[in-house]
Amino acid sequence: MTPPLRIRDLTVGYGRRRRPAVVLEHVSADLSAGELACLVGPNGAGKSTLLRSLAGLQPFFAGEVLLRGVPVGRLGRAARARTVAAVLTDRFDAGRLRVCDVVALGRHPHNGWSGRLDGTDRRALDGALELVGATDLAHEPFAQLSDGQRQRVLVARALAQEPAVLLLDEPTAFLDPPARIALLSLLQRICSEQGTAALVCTHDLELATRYSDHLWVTGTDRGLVTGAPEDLAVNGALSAPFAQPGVHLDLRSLTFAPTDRPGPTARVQGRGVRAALAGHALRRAGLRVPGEPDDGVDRATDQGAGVRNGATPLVSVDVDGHGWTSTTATGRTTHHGCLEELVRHVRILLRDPAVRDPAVRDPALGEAPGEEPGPTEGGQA
Amino acid sequence: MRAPAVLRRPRPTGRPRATAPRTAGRPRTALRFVLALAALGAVVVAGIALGAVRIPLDVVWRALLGQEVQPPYDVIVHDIRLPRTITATLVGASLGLAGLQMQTLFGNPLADPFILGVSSGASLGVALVVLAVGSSGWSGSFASGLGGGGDVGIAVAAATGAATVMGLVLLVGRCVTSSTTLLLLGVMFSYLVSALVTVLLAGATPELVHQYIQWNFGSYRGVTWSNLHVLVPVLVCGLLACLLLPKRLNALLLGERYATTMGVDVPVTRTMIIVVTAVLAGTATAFCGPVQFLGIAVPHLCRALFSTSDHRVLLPACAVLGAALALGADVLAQLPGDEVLPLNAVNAAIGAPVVIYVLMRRSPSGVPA
Repeated sequence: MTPPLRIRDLTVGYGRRRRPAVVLEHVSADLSAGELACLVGPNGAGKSTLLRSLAGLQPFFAGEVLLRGVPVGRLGRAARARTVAAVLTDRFDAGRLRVCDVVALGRHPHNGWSGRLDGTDRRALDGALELVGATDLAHEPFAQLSDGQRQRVLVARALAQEPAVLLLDEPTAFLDPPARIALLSLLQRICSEQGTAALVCTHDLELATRYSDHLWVTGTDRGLVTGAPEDLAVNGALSAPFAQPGVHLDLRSLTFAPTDRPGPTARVQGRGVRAALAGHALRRAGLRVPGEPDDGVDRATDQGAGVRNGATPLVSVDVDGHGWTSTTATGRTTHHGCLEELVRHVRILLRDPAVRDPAVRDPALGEAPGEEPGPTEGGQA
Repeated sequence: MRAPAVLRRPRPTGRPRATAPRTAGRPRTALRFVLALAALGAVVVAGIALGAVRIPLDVVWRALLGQEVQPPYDVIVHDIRLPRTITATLVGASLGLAGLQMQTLFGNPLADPFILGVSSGASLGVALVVLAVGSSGWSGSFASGLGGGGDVGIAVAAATGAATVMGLVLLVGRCVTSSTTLLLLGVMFSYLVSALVTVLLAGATPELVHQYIQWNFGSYRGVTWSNLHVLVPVLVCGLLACLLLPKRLNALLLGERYATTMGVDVPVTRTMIIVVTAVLAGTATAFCGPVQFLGIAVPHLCRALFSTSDHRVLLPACAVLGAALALGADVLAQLPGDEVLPLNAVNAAIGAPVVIYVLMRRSPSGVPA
């Protein structure tokens, strides 16, 4: 089966043909029906340029874009618009347009010269509104929608074009976290139910790895790497473009986290939410908490690492029925009714000069492997 | 603004019917059109009846039906009131439509038909003619035509000036991808041309400057039947050409990039809109001088009164309301009797408060008009 979108040896960039600024070269990728792919990469790596070129908003310099197997140059404007629809970052003054008016504009490549909607158009319009769950918003003024509703309606507008390929440029940019998740799961559902192929350009790598069937990663030598999120994580292609000193990709959660620097550690004893939150608070206070998912160290070999390295934890925290009890290295125990107290307590402990200088506290720590600042790759270790 | 929670509440009726009430909204739009047409009709009657000489309504009625009018009134009705009425309605409709298209093309509520330099170009043409005629000593024979704006020489000069500037803007526009840049270019062209006009006027005699200023006030009077032979076909063609545009204009509401992804050929559409606007506004300016305010106010008024952004409604609405407003303002301008107020002053003095009122009343929740 021909994929709805196939890119062969594509070179994109901006600027006039006389002085082209190439940002991505020799890019090849396929997007198959029902697939949700996320286009990720650091700023300036050409995500948006690629997406805009695919949407027909700017020309590409070389290569081929095939829509349902047909080179894009051989499709007319309307035919192209019936194959590819886009949700862009453009803010527009919606004036007195109602939600259903905005979605009805998506029928533009289908209806006649006057833009009058016939039965098919209305069914497509209603269907699109229903898919994104905006049926009851149909007669609200578009300008009064919240950002989350707005994005859903813009997705509906794109769906009303009945495209084989849906392109979305930073659709989650102005959304709060729950709305981001709602939007991505909506897209995932649309792709699997409708067989639409979607390419989402996003900064939100954590969301991308959670929802996409394939990741398209830009930012490595002006090229594009594609694959399942987990595979790309394992072979290092996912973290390479984002490499930055002090930040690493945690392979278990596929989230970015600051790489731990050598320093005092803490230990949390117990399980469950309260233990996890205590770990969170301790990390916020500036301590390393071995055994937590985002410490940049492979957990399988890390059980009790602090103890094995000879580094006595600065504090050890027990979860009890009323709160948390911390025990310092010297054996002093304090009870904390809330985690703010714990953090305050730890910060006071950290002001001790002997604690702040790891060499004084524990000479062996500086030699421990995997502790140097810089990107660490759990998968390669 | 209502809370999102209220918006999300499902309808009690269960079955989704997203677009059904659209048809329910149609009679209201139709009713508003009937009212607008009634207003236009009333203004047309007033336009023929009122003026320096009051004409009885039964005579007006017979004149409108094309019947013979008895002697004391026939000259006034035939040579003055009818041409004035036809001119004002057509020019008002043209400027309303031209303003609407410019506002949509540039996504800018402040755009008007003259924003790309049509009126500046026309002024330059007029100023050149005034100066040339003034220096060759023909001013006496010219003055009568200038005041009314109906002189053929003035009209040709204004049309040529307007066409030249619009041609330049279109030419430069071919190399410009962004409409905002094009808008700024048009404004800059206007400034340059106005500067030229100022230089020309600085060297003219006070009498010629006065004639130029008279032209600048705008006026529908002085347009003769022979002028109408040109004005009517051109403006009617321009108005009919607008019928090709509502779908494209609607798509442009979401911005040019969205329009492109919906299959609109944006550069071609932009050229179409600019050419149609230039023909409408340029012709109107050539015969009536730069009639201000209608082009910017009528679209806002229509959006508010018809509470829609759909150009399939707005285009005819702007034509009808533009015609009614133009003629209404002209009727008021000559209510004082023999003295006739400057048309542009009346346009702004009546229209601006009306538009301000409509905008404030209709958008309490932050919805722009």
